[in-house]
Amino acid sequence: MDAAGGTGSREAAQAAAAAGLDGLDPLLQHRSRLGALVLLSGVDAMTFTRLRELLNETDGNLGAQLKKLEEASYIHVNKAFQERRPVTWYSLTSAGRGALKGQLAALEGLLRAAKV
Amino acid sequence: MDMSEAARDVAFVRGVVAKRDGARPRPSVIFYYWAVYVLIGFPMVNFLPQYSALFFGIGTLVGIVFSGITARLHFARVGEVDVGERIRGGIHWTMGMIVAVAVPIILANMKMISSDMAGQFSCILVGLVYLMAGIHIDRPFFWMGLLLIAGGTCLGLVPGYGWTVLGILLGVSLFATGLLGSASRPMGMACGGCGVEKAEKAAS
Repeated sequence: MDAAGGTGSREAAQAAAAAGLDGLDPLLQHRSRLGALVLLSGVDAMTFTRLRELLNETDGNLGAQLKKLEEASYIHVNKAFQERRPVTWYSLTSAGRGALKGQLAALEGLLRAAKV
Repeated sequence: MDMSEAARDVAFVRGVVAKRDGARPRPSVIFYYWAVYVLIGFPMVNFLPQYSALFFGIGTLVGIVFSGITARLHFARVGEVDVGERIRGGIHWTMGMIVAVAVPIILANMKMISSDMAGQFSCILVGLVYLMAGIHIDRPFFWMGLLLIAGGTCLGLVPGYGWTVLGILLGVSLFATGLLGSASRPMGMACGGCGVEKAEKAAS
């Protein structure tokens, strides 16, 4: 490959990487928030305890991350009782599902561009 | 975010999904019920054949209801609700077991097949139900399904105690699977179709 071809493909890769970076949702650049949405995308609802166990997070940190997702209307929260104990259930909203789909597509584009 | 951070995030999420798929606690008591059902019912075919059809008929219906209620309570306690999976599993086991047990009994009552053939036929059909469960629900069922199909086919070759031997093998398999505790990912299943696998492939 000559210098012109090499420069052309490098510019194309940089353009693709820039497009990928633009497509990233700042809210989902935290891996636990992204992980929570991915887990919720596979079920109808999941409890706080189960999310904490799978994401290996502390109560305080996970609570803070989920609060941000709730404020962005990416997840819906439902507080219930189970065997007389309070349980908090989380489910993905349609906005959250769209945001997750966009984030994963942007990540895929970014990583493909990096291989050029 | 740079490329390496993106790749690490994708790998992290993939790990989380694999952890969820690979370590879902199994509702063990359901396996214990069916182990007892098999350990009583199969030898009954050899030693008390006049009661076996009634036992299997009632035991299957009770087992289906018990399994459905127990599974729902179990996964609520685990912290996951997946209505679609529950419906698919419910239809699979309910329709499968009813057809596998009821149809041969009906055919035998209509004198279209002998009661011995009805028993073998039922065993093979239940094996198919288990085999499909191993592909779509929980891997150990696949091997139990093969055991039932092979066992049901060969029953006529083992004089006297074929059902008892098969019942013990299957009962022990069910009991051991219940003891193991964690469900295995079904055969051929990826991370749930969430899109993470595409992003990870791009990273590799």
